Amino acid sequence: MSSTGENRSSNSTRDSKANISSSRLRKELMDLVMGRDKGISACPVDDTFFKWIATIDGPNDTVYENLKFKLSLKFTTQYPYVPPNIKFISPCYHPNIDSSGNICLDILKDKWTASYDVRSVLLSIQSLLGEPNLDDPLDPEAAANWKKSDFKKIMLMHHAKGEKKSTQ
Amino acid sequence: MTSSLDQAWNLITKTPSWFGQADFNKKEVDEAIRIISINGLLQISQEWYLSSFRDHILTNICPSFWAHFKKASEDETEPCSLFQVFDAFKYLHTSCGLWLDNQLIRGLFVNQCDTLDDFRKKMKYLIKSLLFFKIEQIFNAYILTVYTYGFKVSKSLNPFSLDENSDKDESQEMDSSGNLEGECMICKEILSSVDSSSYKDMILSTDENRMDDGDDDRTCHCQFIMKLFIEMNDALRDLDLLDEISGDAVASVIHNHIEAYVIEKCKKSFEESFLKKLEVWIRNVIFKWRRLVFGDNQALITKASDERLMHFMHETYAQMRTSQMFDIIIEYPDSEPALEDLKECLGKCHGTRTKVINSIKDSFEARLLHPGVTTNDILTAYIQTIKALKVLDPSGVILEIVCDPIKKYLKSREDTVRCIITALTDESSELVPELAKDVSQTIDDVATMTDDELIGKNWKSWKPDPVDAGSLGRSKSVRQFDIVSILVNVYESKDLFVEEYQRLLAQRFLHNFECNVDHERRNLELLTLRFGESDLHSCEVMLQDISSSKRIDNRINAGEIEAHHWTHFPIKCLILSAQFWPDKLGLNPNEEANKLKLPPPVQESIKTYTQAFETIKGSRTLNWLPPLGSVDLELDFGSPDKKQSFTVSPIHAAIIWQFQEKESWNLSELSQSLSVSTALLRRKISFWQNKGIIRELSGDRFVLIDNQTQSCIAQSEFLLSESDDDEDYEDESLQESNNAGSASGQDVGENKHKVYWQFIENMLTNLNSLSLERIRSMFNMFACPNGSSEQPLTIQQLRNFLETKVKEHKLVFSNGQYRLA
Repeated sequence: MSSTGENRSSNSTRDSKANISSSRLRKELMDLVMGRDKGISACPVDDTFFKWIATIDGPNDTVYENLKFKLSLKFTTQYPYVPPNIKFISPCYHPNIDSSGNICLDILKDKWTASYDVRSVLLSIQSLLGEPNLDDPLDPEAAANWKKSDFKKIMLMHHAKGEKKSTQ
Repeated sequence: MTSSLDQAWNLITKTPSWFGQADFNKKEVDEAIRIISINGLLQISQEWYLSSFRDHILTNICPSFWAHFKKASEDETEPCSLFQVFDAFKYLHTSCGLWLDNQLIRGLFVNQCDTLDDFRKKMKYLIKSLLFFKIEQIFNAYILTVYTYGFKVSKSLNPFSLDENSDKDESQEMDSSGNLEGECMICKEILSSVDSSSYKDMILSTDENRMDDGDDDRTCHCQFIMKLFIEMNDALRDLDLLDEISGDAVASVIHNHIEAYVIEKCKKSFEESFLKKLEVWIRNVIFKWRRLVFGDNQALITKASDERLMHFMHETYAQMRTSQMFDIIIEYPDSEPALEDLKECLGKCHGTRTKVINSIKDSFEARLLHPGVTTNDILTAYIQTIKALKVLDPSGVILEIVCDPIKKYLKSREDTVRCIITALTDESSELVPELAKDVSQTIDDVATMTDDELIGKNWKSWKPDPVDAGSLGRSKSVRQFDIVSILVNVYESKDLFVEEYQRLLAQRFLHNFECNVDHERRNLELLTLRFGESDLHSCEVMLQDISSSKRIDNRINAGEIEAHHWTHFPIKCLILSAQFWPDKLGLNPNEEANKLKLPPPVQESIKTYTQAFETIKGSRTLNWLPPLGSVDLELDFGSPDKKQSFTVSPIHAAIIWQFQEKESWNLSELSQSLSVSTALLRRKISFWQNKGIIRELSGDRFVLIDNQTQSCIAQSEFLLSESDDDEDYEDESLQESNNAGSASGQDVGENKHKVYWQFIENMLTNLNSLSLERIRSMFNMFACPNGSSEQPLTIQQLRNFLETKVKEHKLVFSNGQYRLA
């Protein structure tokens, strides 16, 4: 599941636009590393700045407590004017996250502005875990189950299934 | 009737052969035309007239016209004679003129003025097409020569009227080649090309008619040549051939002349603005001459063509200045007028920008950016460039493009930072006023401001970037003319500069105890304005150290403190806060020299001094740095004339002290006694050897040279720099530092390591496990981008670091991969 980064894509033909985005991403990486926010971290996968892996801890006092989720972040050279493409790699049973890891979050779509950065996006996703938007579910089944007392059990079951699927 | 028609026709067809002859029977011709007209044959007659004109051109005019050029074209080396050309066109004009206007043609077109004009136009086309359907190269050369001389002659004839507004002296000087001692060289030159033909006689005869006095050689024939020249132009104009025949020649004569004039007038001086003068000159000289040639022909002298010439002048000027850019830059501010001129040209001439940029780049490459130029010179040139280009291109784009190579080159030089800092802080340097300039923003502020913010501030004066700015991919905010910021930005990081400044400051203080603290403080304040307070905090502490140690030293040396007794050695001491001075105090002290054992009496003094200090500053103590500082000592060899004074470093003093006890030392003995390595000792002893006080016998044995009066009394004053862990300044005063230099060094190291660890932890959290090489490459890629002041980590450094983390059980190493424990 984790990429050890052997697929070193040599991207030698980076234009100036890519330089702008990568210098912004470099700064974001520095901030992220130095900032030491609890429960979120992210790091580029290869020698370019355009593919990252992020780790989010499930927020405390939620059903996701003590769980770790991995996400993939893909940036384009238009970053930060275009939002990154973010997906869960780890299975995550959640009303706003579908089975292939797609996230339904407004700031990743139409509400995106260049003032968001990796850190703020990850923090938003982290808080989304604890506070799903039930009015606009991506996974209706999970949304229906959300209020149930045994949601955690259902979720863990789904995760176990998902793990199996992804390892196959 | 028929016979009269026949007669009339016969008469008319014969008429052309009588053209220009006196016995032309006008009445008969009129009558014949009338008969033709009655018979409705006018149309046919007109056609006949045209076709016979055509035949005439082909059979008569053409061969005779070209015959004028024949002779010279056989031998091309012979310079062509103006008069041949004049003559040829005169012939052409006369012979064609006969056909263009005579009684017959008038009769044929009676009452048909418009048609007649059209008809004449047709005839002129015939001339043009039949005569010049093939123009020989040599003919063009003739024409060019004619116009070249034509220009010269007209200039020599009335230089003042042509050169109206420019200074008369100069124009006279310029024409001196033409008018030497009243003798006209130009017409002489022209006449010399005329072999003893009829022209010469003709000229001479006209001259004699004109003025009887004067000797022939000294007579100027320009007037006459000018007359012929004007006649030729009139003839050509009459035949509608002017543009065809002379257009190119006139243009190239004018262009050549503009070029020559611009270069001659403006090349040498940058200190004058020329454009306006040149414009006046073009109007007065070139335009006038063009009118002289073309007459008032509206088709040929249009506004557009005038503008073209003006533009050509601008281009020529720009081209010349472009090639001189390097000198212009170096001579700034004297060259400001030239820059202003060029700036105007930049706006007018397309493509000049690129040329200017390339010219500057090339000349930098050739004259500046190579090992033979000192860094200071490069910096001076760089500063000049900044100032000069600010005038030339206020948008800063040219500067940015042009200075890129300089920046890169400066970066590769080791002493650049030092030179910049020295220049900034040196009182006599021209940079000092720059530094003192009021800057409302620190370097950081400007760099982080976005375009929008900048525009927002003064949106009314906003101008779009020139097109070539696009390639820079950088925001406008980065481009500025603040010299200090530009210099500091050579390294793209101010940290390096701050570090270097700190080191420089340390060296100044440690090498010169009487350093002017106030001056340094002023510098520091100015630098603080730019770099921000936080970065220069340590420097402030350093200055503070200097002044407070003076105070403490005065107190101790005043005998105020009981613990400090006067000994043989009065000591002055600099107390440095170890954390705030640069690593190794910015010096390059020999590590082993730290172990130097000072003579016991000195150590005694140091001890009491330390005690005294401890009394004043309760919980603190001093760590002495024996190799630093200086000693004033006097060597007394017994007699007054043999006293010698020195100011030396402690190690030198300690060595000579040893010779006071024993006049002969083995190197190893000495090394033991001073606890200094023999190698270092040998180096240091050579100082005394050079002074002729100690000599080496053989086999590492050194003796005092003067052994009769060996009483060598080192009466001295030790000035030692010391370190003091001053906790006032340090929030996290962690360690009891044992050594000032290494303590702060370690501290920096720790800090760095903390950052490294955060990075590695972050990488491994997300990517699970990584190999050493992979960690290193990512690390250097992300944490230490190119151009940052950080040195890239070596693989060994990283391995060591990771090993310690493995030992701390923070990492696990297996299968060649590291992962978090």
